[in-house]
Amino acid sequence: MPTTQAGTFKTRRGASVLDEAALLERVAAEEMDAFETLYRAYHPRLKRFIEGMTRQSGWVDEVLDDTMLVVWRKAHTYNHDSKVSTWIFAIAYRQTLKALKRRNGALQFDQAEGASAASSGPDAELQQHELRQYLDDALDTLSAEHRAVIELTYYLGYACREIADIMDCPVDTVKTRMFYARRKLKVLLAARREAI
Amino acid sequence: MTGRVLPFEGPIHVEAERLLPWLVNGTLQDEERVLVEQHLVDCTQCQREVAWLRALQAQTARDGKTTDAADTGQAVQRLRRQIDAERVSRRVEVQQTGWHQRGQRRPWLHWAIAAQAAIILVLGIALIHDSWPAAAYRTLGAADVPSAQLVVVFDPHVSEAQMRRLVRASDARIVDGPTDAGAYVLSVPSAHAKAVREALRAAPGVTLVKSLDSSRER
Repeated sequence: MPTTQAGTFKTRRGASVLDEAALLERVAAEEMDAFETLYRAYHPRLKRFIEGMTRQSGWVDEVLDDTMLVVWRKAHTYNHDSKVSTWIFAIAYRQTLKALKRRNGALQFDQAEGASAASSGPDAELQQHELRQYLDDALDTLSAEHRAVIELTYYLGYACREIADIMDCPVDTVKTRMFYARRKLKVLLAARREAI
Repeated sequence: MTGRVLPFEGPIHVEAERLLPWLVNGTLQDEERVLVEQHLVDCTQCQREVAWLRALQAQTARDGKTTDAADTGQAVQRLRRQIDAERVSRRVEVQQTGWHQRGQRRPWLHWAIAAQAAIILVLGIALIHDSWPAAAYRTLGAADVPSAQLVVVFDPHVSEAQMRRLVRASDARIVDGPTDAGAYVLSVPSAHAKAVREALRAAPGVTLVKSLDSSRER
């Protein structure tokens, strides 16, 4: 599990230095300093998550700002049913889906099979950055929901149950989305390797 | 013979295979973890899958772009200004609603104000008539021009002279502010509120313009 880049938050999963729930209560009381602390703590992770879901960098900041504005306005509705991070990422997930809908007219549900980018040409040695590029190309062909599951699991280190909370869907749906995402990535990456 | 059937392709294999990503990221609960780990001992297919998933996780984690502090700082400031502008607009709305409601509760107040204004006007006209009989003079307050209000945030580095020029060019008056984040409420004639809003948005030195008459607008 990657360590967090988020300043005073030592770990994402274990006990955090700051009590996030208390921080959110202060945000609900419209304490701007508390909001700024929360923003700084979540900015890198949210940015990465939104970027991972949208595969766009042009409007990530806008979606991130929208997300944190919702956090600011709705902090008083947080009811401790889930962790603060789960609550915030659920907002980010919904805001990202909204943004995708606004911009694409429809969600990027699975595009045509084999729609990965054209090969840049065979190379004698498979370099790390090329492998990363192939993975990026393969991720581009997944739906936003599938990418969200990948990001939440592998980069942000969430449990299946938490991802279901964030995406507001049954646990089995998360498992199924992950299963298909894995299968598709595997097929696409294998195809790229064979092409080399 | 009571031979045990190994559930390689049975429901346990299917369930274990679906849980592998969360075995890899270390978040499986005890019961599920035990189930998957026991299954892994005998299932080479799942063992290969775990190796592939670990590689996938390593690649995904490697892509973590670092966000520098300046980037985060700018983002925080941007959001602070927006929140502050919202607070100002909310306060002005509350004030306007308050006046409106007070007027509704005391309808005689309108008549009293109107009568007072009429007396002032008559006295004023008499005074002007005495002193400047031929002058076509209008006081600033006499103009009964409908106005709209805009919340404007100027760049913290903008000079006072530049700010004054922008306000004058917009035919606007500052009616509230500045707040901590530098938000002002400007009153502009309704007739060209839209044009002023667009011009201010395009002007250098202005970071946010928001109409109070359409709070939904961004």
